[in-house]
Amino acid sequence: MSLRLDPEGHEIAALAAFMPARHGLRVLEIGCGDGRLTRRYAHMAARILAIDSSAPELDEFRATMPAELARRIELRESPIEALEIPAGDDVDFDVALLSWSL
Amino acid sequence: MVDALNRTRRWLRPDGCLIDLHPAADTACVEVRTQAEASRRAGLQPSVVRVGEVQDESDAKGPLGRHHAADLALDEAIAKHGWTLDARARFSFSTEADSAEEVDAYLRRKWRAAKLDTRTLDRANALVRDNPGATVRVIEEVMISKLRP
Repeated sequence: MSLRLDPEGHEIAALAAFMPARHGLRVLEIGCGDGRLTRRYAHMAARILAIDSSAPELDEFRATMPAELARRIELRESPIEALEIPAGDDVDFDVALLSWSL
Repeated sequence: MVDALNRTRRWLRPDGCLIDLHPAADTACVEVRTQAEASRRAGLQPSVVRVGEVQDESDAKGPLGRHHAADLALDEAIAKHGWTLDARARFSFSTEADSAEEVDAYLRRKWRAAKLDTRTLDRANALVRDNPGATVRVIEEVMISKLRP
């Protein structure tokens, strides 16, 4: 297997330029899929809630998530239309990231 | 689409932002880059041969219709729902492998309903066979937008 995605790093460079320059970023990622993009920007965030409607994609994400990221990334199976974040949860995100999902 | 976008507002800080990435409404092209290894070692640009386009039949409107609809949703969010466009840019996203079959397998697995057609596969394979070290790339143009609530 020799697959290489975005070998020049154009995507992460563009995202880094758009991310707020702030410590402790909290990101709500919608359409995280298998976590390909999440893993690339995770070093910029203190906490990530990553959602996707596909259970197989989330299973792949969990299976490949590095242990050091597991403490900061919460995964939920849900389309954005059905997402509920109960009052009392941390709901104030700095960034809502639509990850190739609109 | 606009409803989904507007739902995010309830979870954003007042000074937060929404960042959207989605493919531009352009067809993804397929290229073979010949002499890739030798060129990299010599610091030269590889020769690029366009061999076809990705065949994507993911919905009735086609992928370009879907991506155009995403553009329209962002425009509507800005025009009618109080979002402010803070920044927008465009970049190229490459999916590269040493063979056309690997690229094709990835597209079939990860894209909604995409593949390389036989003609594109044949052209890419012929170039790879004749040019050791050549690579096959799919290149998508991607829009990134930053909006404020």
